[in-house]
Amino acid sequence: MRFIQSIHTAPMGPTWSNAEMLQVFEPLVERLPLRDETISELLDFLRFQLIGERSRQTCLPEFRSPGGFAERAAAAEAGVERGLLGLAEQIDRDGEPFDAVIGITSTAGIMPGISYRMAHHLGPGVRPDALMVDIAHAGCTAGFQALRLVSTLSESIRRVLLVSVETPTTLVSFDSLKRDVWQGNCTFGDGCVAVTLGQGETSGLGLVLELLETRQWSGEGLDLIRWGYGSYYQFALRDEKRFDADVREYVAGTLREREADWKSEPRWAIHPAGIALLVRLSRKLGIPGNAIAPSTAHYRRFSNMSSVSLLQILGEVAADLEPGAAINLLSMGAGFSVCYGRVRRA
Amino acid sequence: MASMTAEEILKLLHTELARPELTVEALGASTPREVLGDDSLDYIEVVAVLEEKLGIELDLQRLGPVLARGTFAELATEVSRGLAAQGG
Repeated sequence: MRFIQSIHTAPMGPTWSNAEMLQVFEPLVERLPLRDETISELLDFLRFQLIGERSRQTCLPEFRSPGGFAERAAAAEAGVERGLLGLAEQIDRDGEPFDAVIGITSTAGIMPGISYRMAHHLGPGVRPDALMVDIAHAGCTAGFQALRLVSTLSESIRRVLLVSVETPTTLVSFDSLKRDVWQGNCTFGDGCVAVTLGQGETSGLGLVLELLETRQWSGEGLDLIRWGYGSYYQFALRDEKRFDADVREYVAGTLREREADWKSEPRWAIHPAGIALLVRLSRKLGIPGNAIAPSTAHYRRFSNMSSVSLLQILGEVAADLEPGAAINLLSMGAGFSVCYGRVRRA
Repeated sequence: MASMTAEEILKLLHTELARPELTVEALGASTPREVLGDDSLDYIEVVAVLEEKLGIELDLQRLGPVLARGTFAELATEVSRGLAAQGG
């Protein structure tokens, strides 16, 4: 029986609020080589995207001037190291060494990868013959997919460390003429999370990996979310006008197929892809408003941290979970992929 | 869903928002920020409620700027236009 023992988070850098972001964005947009009407529409779009109290962390030394390729890549690497150091300080080194380390990032293009860097910080906390795996390019669902991978590992691999670090603010682009790039500028924040997992008798959080399923739509959904390229990688959408509706249909369709699995469980950890999506999805499926509250609270504080967010929200929801109670997991992201699962407190 | 005028949609909003201290006219002249404050969740809830009541999907890309800067009367006008465009 594979279970989650602990979930840890650590700071990534300074925090920027919506109001502060808008102050940076407005003069930049006004200088774009676009017609006045288009600039006005883009500004209105940004003001809506940045309505209300929301913030995000960034590992960029100076958010206003992210620099070129080398500066952004260096900032991502430095952000990864900062996150890993903060996580390593919290991981119990008195426990058995880890038999496997799984690292995740889609937004920091680094080598060596997260797993080796974390092992470097933990020293004897990772066995010399440990399984070392790095998952890249898997987008927002990578945290869930990693849990699913862990659930399939041999029983001989007893203790597993799963680490995700995402640095999407290094992708920020201030000279793009494309609305989807600006949507990405508004949506994401940097973050990191570490999850320790055991095998057999439960301890700590004691969250048993009860059900972990993925529905992949690589046929028609492949380019729904993808990278674009400028002076660095950029967030891009196939069709920003249809994006929300398309994602809702994939997610709602998948969950309708599994309704018997989740209907009776009131607690949810849902990837915060965006408040509009969460609210409309919950209404479409009859998920109570208070079930999405942990995700909306997380989104307000950290924005969308890609693969990190679901695992952090799970840690928050699980903090005061009674024995026998379950938490539904839901994530969606590039691929296109919809992941549904459930963990239960032993 | 049959077409609805902007006035009818404004009355629907007035009912759903349940602010008896505001007349329909006063609501129309107010901005979402003045009535709902700064919580973006409340803005999205307004859209979601309208979608349920009207039985259509609203275009947030088009409505977003109105929610951010316009009045409820302007929002009602945009929703009415959207209904008409969807054949209602």
